[in-house]
Amino acid sequence: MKKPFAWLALASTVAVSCLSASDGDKPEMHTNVADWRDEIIYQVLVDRFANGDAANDFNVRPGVPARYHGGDWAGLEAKLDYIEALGVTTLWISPIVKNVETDAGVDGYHGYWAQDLTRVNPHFGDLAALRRLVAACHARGLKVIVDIVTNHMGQLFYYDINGNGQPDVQLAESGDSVDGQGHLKPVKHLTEYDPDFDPRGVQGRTSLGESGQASVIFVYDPDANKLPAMPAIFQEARAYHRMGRVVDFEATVKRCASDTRKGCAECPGDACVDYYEQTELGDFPGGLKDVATELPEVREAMIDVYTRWVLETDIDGYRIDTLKHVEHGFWQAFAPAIRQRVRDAGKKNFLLFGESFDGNDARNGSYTRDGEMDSVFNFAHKFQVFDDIIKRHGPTNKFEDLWAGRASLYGATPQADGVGVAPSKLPINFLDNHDVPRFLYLEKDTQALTLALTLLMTEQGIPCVYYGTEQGFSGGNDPMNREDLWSAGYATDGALFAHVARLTRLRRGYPALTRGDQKVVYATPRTGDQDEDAGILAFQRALGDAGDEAALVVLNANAAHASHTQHQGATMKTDFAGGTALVDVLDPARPGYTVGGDGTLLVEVPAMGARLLIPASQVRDGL
Amino acid sequence: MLRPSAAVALALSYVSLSSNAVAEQAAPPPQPAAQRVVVVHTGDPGPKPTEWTAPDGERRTGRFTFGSYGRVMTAIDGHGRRGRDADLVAHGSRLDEDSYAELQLERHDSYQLPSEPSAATTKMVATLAVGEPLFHQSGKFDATLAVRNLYIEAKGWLLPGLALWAGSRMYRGDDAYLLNWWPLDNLNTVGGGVRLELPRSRTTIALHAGANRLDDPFQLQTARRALPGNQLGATDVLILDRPRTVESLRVEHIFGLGGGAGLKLVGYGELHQLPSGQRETAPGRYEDLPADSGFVVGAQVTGFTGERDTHLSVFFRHARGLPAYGGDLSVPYALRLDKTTKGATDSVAAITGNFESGPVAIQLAGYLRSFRAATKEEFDFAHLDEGIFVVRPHVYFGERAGVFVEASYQAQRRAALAADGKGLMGGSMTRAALVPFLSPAGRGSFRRPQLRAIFSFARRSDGARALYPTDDVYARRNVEQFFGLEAEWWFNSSYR
Repeated sequence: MKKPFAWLALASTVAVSCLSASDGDKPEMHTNVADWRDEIIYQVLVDRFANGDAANDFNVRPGVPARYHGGDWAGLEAKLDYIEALGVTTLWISPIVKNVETDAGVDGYHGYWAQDLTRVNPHFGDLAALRRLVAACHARGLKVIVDIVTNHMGQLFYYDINGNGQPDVQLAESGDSVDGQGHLKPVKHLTEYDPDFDPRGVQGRTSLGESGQASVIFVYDPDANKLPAMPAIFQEARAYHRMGRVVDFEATVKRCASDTRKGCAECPGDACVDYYEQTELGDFPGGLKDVATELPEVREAMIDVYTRWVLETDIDGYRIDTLKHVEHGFWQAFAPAIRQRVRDAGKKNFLLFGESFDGNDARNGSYTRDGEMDSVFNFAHKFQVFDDIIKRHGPTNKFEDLWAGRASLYGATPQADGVGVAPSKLPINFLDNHDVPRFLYLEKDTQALTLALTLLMTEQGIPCVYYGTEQGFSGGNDPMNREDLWSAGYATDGALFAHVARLTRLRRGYPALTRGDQKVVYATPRTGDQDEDAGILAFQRALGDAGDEAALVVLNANAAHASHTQHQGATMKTDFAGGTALVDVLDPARPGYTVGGDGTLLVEVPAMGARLLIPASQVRDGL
Repeated sequence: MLRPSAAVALALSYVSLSSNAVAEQAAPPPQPAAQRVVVVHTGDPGPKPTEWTAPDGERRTGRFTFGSYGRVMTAIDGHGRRGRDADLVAHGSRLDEDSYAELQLERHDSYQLPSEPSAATTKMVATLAVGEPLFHQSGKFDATLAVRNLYIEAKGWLLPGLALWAGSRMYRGDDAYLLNWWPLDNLNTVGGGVRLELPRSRTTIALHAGANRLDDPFQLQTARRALPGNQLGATDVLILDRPRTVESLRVEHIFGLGGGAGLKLVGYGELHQLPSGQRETAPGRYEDLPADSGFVVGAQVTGFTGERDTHLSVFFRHARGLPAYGGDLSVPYALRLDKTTKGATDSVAAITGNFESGPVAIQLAGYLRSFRAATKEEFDFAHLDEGIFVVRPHVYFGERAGVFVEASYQAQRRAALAADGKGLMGGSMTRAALVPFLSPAGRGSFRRPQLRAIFSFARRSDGARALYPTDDVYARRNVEQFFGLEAEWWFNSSYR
């Protein structure tokens, strides 16, 4: 090559390869969601979904469940076709912020061990990669929800209980005999990383007894990314409650309703309430340090960083971890402030929903009032319906009772500047997630899973599907329930994948299933082999914001025999007009049913089967 | 280090103006600078130098040489354990020193233009040192290695008699062979220097400057830090980084006394500096380390007869501050509260000599030393006075075999109260050794190689036993026996 051409080639190469920040530009804010009831959430654990960038495969240990596996945002972006084919509409991705790298041989691959709330976790890519993912989702009509944690930070400090300046792990009460008659003191495991809860604050201790509140020592270990936390307020001991680990999640103490720091005797005339002191003030097990969210500086820091992530990425909502471990006052400050700030930036309908991991619906619902969450995960429903009714074939009237209570237990009006739908109509329904065994764990009952998915996709609320459900993953508790999706080859030809895809098409195709109100029209306490309606559950989806659209869902959770919507001559009564022709759109044969003159309808459903009845005039082809 | 420079000097056919009396005696008279000797070979005949002529007519010759110093010892004590150095004092007898060897490669070149009367030279020296454990002792296929020389010296380029050098170098004068010690000057730095051999005289002036940064928290500290730019992982960064700089000046002059005899006088000085620094004591917490310094002044008087390595040298050395702790490779301890060595002193008077006549030779060496650490505490284990005297008479049976006896007495006293509260800690040791040897190179205290069998008996006082930790066998035994076999050699090994 002659020299002039060589220079030209070099110049061209330089010009093409010149570094540019354009891909990383801050996005404009858009409102991407019209009505969150139309959405179907797909939960993704980023580290386990797809590896699209080998450059961030730092210290990955494929095959070791508790270590990083290499998934990242680029991988997720590359697999959007798969997600689109499934028919879900919103991605909930695991936390994005920088985490403690590793602790006690377990990695922070899940994202719940925050160290720096202001920076992305480089295992998943850089800010530009996150922006590209969000933009690519929006280009396909998908929305993105990011998981956040305000309750705690990672294992950033230890309690120097014995004052020796090093983290000690030791045994106490080492099994010595108490009375010489075989009664032994229990062996107790003491760790300065994660000592038991003490309402006075974790106490220092010497051989002579207690020595006052233990000081905390922040660990400095760059290899484990145990570095000074950010924002800077989290580098101060006062930003944490320092009371030790929650040992009893149900423990309560009596406190003044107006100020839970006061005992009831201190506020005569005020209501005396049960206060979940440990849950709110204790460290989350695993040494995750509980943040003093009541401090104004802490609240402001949380609001600032989590507003910033919206503005930096144009995401559409937050899934908030460990809701019930933070006092209501924080949520009443945090949620409205986030809504207000992102709205001011041009984004409306920003969804805030949280995890109150509790079977008590009253407790869960308490976070949906007074400006707090737009919604919460429907844990009571997971336990009482998907587990008790679908998996264990229990009485279906539990479902009716649960939904009847929701109206009063959950917020009945939309949050100001929120998503415009009352929390009571917007539960986040789910079968399983990363914190509980998968639905198929222990019993590989795909028939039950199929029925559960049908219920999930037809009932009121926002369905949330945990990644891998469509592949029949069956892992047990964390971390075994966090399988690599690539192990399934991203297959789209399996029966479960097809079933989910079909259900998502139906849900998106029939507005009654998304925006209609829900009314239970048949439920039964009977489960016996001889009971003609054993396992039958039927509910209508109509009215609300569904216009004239309507649907009737009839399920049979009985595994032994077909059942019908009648007991001792009493037939299910619906709100459909007499003579209404209904078509079961779940059955490829599209069988028809006609509502009786008094609104009654007799429907037989095979064992563990379901029918989705749509007025014949509203049936749409191609779904 | 452990190389007997005097003996090595004898092995060379050419020696520059050396500070070593014995070497001076054996070497030919200094060459006039105008005749600029081309140094291309050593005492061993070795391969012939290659010669060629450059296009500009410059005549070049070059040669590689290999040299070595080494000793390998195997020994057991009277209880069947491995024989071990029993000395109390810092510089004891070399009789029971561990194995050690140096492998030295040198490249010598000379360059001479037709218009110049003499050639200029370069010398590249690389010395690999091997210490214990040896493979055949430990069974581990591994070695303790160090590169002890890696430098170039250029001579005769700018001025006749002027040598310039740069690199990593052992830089030292005359040793006390029996003590394996250089009482006056022994530096180990990366640096450079000049040496000027004054024309037509017996005066040499050597100036050197160098630095080292020991891998010790006194001079060096690294800490882990996160990578920049939110990258994954961590790396080491230097927190404390304060090299010690050392400058030395050595002036020596030899007075000829006729018949090959002479008197060498040496004046010597060092300056040491350590800059201030900062050390991390805990994450985010730092302590300041102030700048420090020190100096050495010393002198040497050596008389030699010019006959068979007979000489007697006397050394005086006084160090204050940094170098008081034993030289540039030592880490100061027992500091002042301000973490400096101010006030530390080390004073030494040493003697070494050799006399040979007929089938008899006598070597001797000894020193008295007083060290005071920088701490202002009057009673501190670091403060010490010590001394040793060793005499080694030889008798040769024929030309190539003989026997020597080594007798020594050494004592040390520490400024720490003894366990019984009566007086200071300290003790003494007396030793006698019988050593038959084979000397294939002939008679002479500094002829090598030499094969030896060593039978040594030592008695340490109770006070000496108290200087060892509990369960050290030396803390339990008053009498020490040592039975060893040793090989010692040197050839073509010189650092001048």
